[in-house]
Amino acid sequence: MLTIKDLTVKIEDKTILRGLNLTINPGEVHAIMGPNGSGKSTLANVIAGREEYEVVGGQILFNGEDLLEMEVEERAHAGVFLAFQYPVEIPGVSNANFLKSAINSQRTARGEEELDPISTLKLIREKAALVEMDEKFLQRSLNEGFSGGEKKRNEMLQMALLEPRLAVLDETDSGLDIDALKVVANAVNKLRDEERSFIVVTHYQRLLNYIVPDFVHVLYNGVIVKSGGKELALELEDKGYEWVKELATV
Amino acid sequence: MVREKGFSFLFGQLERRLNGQKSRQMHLIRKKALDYLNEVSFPSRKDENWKYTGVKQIVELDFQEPALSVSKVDEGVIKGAETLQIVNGKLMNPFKGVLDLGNGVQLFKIDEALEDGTFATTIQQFIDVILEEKQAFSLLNLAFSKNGLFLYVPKNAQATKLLHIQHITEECGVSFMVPTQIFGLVEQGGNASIIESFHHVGEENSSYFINGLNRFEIKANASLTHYKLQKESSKAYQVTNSGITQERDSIFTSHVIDAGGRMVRNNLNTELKGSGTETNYYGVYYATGDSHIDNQTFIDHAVPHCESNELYKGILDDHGVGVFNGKVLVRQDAQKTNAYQQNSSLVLSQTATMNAKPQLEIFADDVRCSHGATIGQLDEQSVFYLKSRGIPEPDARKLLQNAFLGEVIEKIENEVIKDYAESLIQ
Repeated sequence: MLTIKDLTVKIEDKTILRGLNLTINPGEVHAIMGPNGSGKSTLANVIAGREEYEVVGGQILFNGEDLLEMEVEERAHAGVFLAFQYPVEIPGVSNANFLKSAINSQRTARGEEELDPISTLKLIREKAALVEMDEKFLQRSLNEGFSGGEKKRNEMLQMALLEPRLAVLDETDSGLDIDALKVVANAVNKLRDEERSFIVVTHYQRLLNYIVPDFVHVLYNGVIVKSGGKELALELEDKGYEWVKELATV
Repeated sequence: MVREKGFSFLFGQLERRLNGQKSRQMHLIRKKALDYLNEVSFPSRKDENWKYTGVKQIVELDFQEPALSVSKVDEGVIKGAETLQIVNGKLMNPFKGVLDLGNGVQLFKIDEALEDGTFATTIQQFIDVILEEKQAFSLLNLAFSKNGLFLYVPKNAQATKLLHIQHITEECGVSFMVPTQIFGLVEQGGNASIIESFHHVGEENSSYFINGLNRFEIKANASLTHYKLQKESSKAYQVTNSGITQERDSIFTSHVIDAGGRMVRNNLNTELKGSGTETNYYGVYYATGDSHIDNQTFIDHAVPHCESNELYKGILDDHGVGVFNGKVLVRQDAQKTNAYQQNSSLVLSQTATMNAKPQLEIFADDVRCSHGATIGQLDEQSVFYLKSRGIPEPDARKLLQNAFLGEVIEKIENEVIKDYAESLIQ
């Protein structure tokens, strides 16, 4: 589904990713771990199409298509979803209207008819229940004044509504208490199936107690220095990242 | 028009068309206004208050008599409102004498009310003040006065019908001038709303000039809300002069939405004559193409314990120009004044301009006053967030622009009027 080959990325003349390779098949959950500054968030943002990052080498194929050639919204239409580390607050745009626009933009892009307002609202309510979100958050301005947990819950609501083929969670667990963490994990687990893939970017092993990954990759200094199964996360939790850094210098 | 021929030439044409009305009071006022007009000059950029907005283009237009429309325009109607439609200066729903808006609230034609009836003196007083101010555009308005309206709200009364005055211009191949006039007297405890909308139908080939003149007197405990909802053609010029006086414990609210026109200038002045008043100015300007929109506001806090809130927000795109000059004067006696003013603009292109000039002049020492002016661009992080959910870039930007202006439009409480206002900025 996703093939990243030799990906090299710069931001403001600083090279962050240095020839990264990663292959993800349908239905797989990959955890990307690593110390701060290793390039985890850069990888997530490059997949979503954030402009500040300059891709200087390599390629990303998504279902055989060149992802790097696609506009941000085209990536979304193709089924890529990024759950933001820091979701933006947008005063004056109601959450419900935003969700309606997102759903119908994607339907239109896929050549489907827009959902009528009643069906849209029904769908939003159904998915809000799935992520245990109080309906009062639908009427409020998008993320405005939401707590960290509420923002992440809202990201999960969007993911549930847009039903992506590949969801990238960028440190979705940062700053969350254990209850909020479970909400995020539940949303992911409910959406897991043999077609849908996930990239879970996280600094801590904690989230992986609830979202059990198929693969764990350790990113350091812009490349994957070690890959393994779910037990690798536990090893990292145990030993910290220092031994990984040594791996990289070998 | 060749300036040498002057407005006197145009006035001569007007007189020839008058059918036995030359001796009427309205016409005497017109003549007087013309005499005064010939003594004064139009403002120039040398005047501090007109620094960013030139009027030469307006004054030099080749004004002619517009073709009169034969049928009503079936557009821009606000549901549930009592609509008066004026097309190219012609009143499309003529009424004789008085239009009843319920509970004793009445609308009169100024020229008729000056001839007979209870309100001749009241109206004459409004006019005398305007004549004495000797402002060129107000005098020009009076000199060519037509279809002036006077709203009377009796003590403690509230109209059962919502008044909507629809000013419509229709392309007719020539440049022309439309004077509009609304005077209002809201008696003690009365409550009224006036919606004025301005829009254009047909091609946008000819320039035209809408010259607005409004005067409202709001008595103790009374309240008035005025709406100006404008989407004129890209060839339209508009200057509006509004003067309000407020007595004790009264409320005045102005909603201005300007979303069109080549050049638009609003002068909005409120004089507070009694304590405990509330004055709200809410304005939106949306200037695209070559549009130039200038808001000049003035609130004169002459007495203690009054509150004023001013919120103006706008978007300037393409070659659009915005001007906001908001003056708040807090005189020495006006202790315990609360005066707030905020002006925020988004400048979306390299060629668009915003000129913001908040002016607070405070001579009292026990007051709460604040003002702020910001000029910025759309937040690109927000644009990215929306796009990442599949919302196409133009839609994402539009959504954010509407949210920015929405803060002001949200102040409109009536849902139907709010919907209409929102439709203007789409």
